[in-house]
Amino acid sequence: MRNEISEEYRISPYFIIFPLYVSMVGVGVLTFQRTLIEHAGYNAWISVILTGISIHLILWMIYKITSFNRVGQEIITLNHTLFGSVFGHLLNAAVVLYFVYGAFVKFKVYIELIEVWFFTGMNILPLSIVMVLLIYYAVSGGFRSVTGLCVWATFLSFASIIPQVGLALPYMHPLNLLPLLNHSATDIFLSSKSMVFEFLGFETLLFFYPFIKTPAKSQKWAHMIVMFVTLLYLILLLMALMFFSEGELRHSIWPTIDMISIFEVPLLQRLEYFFISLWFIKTIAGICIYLWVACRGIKTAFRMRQRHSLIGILIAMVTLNYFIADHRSVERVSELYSTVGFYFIYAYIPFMFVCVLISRRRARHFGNRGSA
Amino acid sequence: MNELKTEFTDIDQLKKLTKQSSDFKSIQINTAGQQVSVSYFTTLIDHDLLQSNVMFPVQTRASLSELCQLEDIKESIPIDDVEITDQIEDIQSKLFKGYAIIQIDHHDRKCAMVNIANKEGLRKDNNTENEFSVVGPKVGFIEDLDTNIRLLRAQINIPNLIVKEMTIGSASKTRVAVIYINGVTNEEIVRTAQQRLKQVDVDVIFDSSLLDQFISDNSSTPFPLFLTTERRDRVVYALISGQVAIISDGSPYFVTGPSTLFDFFISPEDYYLPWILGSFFRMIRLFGVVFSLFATSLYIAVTTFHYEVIPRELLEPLILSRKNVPFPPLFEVLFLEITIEFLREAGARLPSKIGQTLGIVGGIVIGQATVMAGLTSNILVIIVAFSALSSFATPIYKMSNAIRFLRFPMIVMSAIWGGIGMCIGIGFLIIHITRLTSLGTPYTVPIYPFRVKALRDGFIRPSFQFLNHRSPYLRPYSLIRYKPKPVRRKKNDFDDG
Repeated sequence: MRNEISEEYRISPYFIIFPLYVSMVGVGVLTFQRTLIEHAGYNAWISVILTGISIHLILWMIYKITSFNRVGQEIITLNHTLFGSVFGHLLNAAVVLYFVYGAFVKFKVYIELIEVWFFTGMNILPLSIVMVLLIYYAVSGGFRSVTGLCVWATFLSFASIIPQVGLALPYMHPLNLLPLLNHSATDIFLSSKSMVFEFLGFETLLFFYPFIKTPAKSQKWAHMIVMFVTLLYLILLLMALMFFSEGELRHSIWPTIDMISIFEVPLLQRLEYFFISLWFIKTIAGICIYLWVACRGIKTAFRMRQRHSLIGILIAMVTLNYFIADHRSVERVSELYSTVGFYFIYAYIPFMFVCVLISRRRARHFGNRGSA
Repeated sequence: MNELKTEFTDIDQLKKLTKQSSDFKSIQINTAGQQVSVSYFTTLIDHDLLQSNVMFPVQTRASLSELCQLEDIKESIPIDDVEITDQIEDIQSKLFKGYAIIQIDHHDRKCAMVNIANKEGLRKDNNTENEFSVVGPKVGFIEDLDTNIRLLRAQINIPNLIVKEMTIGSASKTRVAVIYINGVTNEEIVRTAQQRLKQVDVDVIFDSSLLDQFISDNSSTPFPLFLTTERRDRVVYALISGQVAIISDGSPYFVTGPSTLFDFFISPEDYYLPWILGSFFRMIRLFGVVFSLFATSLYIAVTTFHYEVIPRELLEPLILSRKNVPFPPLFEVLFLEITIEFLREAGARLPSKIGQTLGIVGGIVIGQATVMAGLTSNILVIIVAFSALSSFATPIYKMSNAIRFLRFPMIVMSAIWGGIGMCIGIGFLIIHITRLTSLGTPYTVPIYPFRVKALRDGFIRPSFQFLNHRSPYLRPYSLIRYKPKPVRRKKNDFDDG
């Protein structure tokens, strides 16, 4: 199989922190606090830590899966070798569809954000077409161009998050966090489940693993960025918890934006306009990663040219976006994604892990017998 | 590590290296039983002196078999500065000052050095015209290739400076030189540049800038992918850090590459000032770029869509100044921006004395009158003037052109979708620059791919102690430029020894 990726398309191991960060931290940052406290209330910060730990475990599994037998193994070929042609193809189609769907959810949620905060009642078609053109331009540059975008997007997102923390400090009420433990373990676990949605995205690693120079070295960076993202969510959550009272937070759809709109700096107020605009680049970068992954998957699985599949997907995205309009259906769409993602991470990846372990043991078994 | 200090044992070894340059010439005069060779750099010597005072007597006396020893040369040549030596360092340094080497026997360690250096030939006025600096040398290049190479050799005085010449242009047959430093510049970069130059098929080469476009990796971009400069210190700096310089005959501009986006915001002056000031000016320049790109489009976005972001105290004067303006902000801004572009374009075509008058007419009369007539708000005049000013702070003209051009798409985008439109513009810009390469090297290099060592001389200009490394992205053969001065040991207390 011509699977070796030439050196010039690969990235250095530590560079994976950028695509991982961008694909994990999405529009969810602006809204996750409300859904998170539905069950666990103001103890939800425990759930964030729990989910973070479980993600580390899954990440470790991903590295075990991808380093299965030789360098340059990504999930598509693995499905094929493990489950045969027919079932492998079905599984691949499902995996690719999952990523396309993920990209669409990111796209749709951000466009809804623009509709609500910027231009109520605007015809969204021209904007979505321009966005899609931008995405096409980025993805057609290949993986290096996508990671390049991710690097800038990461810097820009820090530029918007760091001042936010500083500006929020005068408004904090630390006593909001007390009492420390007043919810049952079940509640906390239920909240953890809803937190998984915010971590979705790191599974793109299953695809771009072969694009890393000396992939084994990247594992510590991957763990580091997951730890960092957990910390980021924790800080943002604690900020929201200390900023709002529990009753207020339950009614705020975008707690992070509501917080930002209070801040004032000299010459400027209502900073959320800057924040949402800058978040555009980060969102685009996230969508690009997802779509690159999907097109790459289609290419390896079905031998279809990336250019054609990308154009097809983008047209489908614009059309779907045009027909799904109201907030209810957007919510339903993202809920479905969150459920599917939950099972992708906690069922499919461990399942693959077990399969890989079994087949490796069998290979070793046969190997030993062969040599004996 | 430092391969620049090459030691030679005899003349043959020296010649082996210098022969790689196409401006090095060695003439053999073969007569009965005698072999006299005359070697020199064609770009450094006076050809009249060579012909009448060296070649003629040597040839005539050699044909009469009267040249047996090096001392005979001293007698036969009507030049006072002739020295017979076997000190290789002496020979090397004199060769680069415009001396010719005369050897009688090919294998003799001794040779005669004859001074036929070209002292004149420079244009009367070879000051830099467009890239001005207050501190530092003002030596610029002129329209003659040989003089330009002599100017370069005057500052880089080692045999490692290699000049490769070729002829391009089906009608003009222009001489084009590719210059690099052997042992520093990566061969692959040189090869790529030479190969691309060989493939150029054009009738007349008017200027090096033409070559720049023919050999660039991507011709449909507003960004310059190679640095074009008329300053000698800039070219020398590029060469010494491992880049390639290309120049065509008849052009005062050198093209150096591979360049990165950040190279265009570095001025040689940064290095002539103390590092604190150099860093400060560099940061001012970078801020100027950002300001000039986004200031006017931000004005449009805010006044058209996001009035909320302006605090009430500031909103009042803003609205008052716009009260009499009948247009939407887009036309107001476009009107002023295009006026400034007219002024720049007209000013560039006029003689400098009329140009000054034009500046006054444009800046004061038009600016004042448009505000009085209610065509634009005076706050906007300030913003547009600021952003035009800051775009000219970019030291390389081609880059400041690109920045001024990129303002217009940003303005249009922000007029359509406000802040989101601006970010769409920024997005296109980011993806575009990450996709660009210059001679195969990524354009955004210290940022992406991230290179900490190259970033050292990026946003700030560090002290020379930390500047001793060459940028690793150029993959130079020797990474270290010089040894930094040893760190002084800290004193134990304020007044202790």
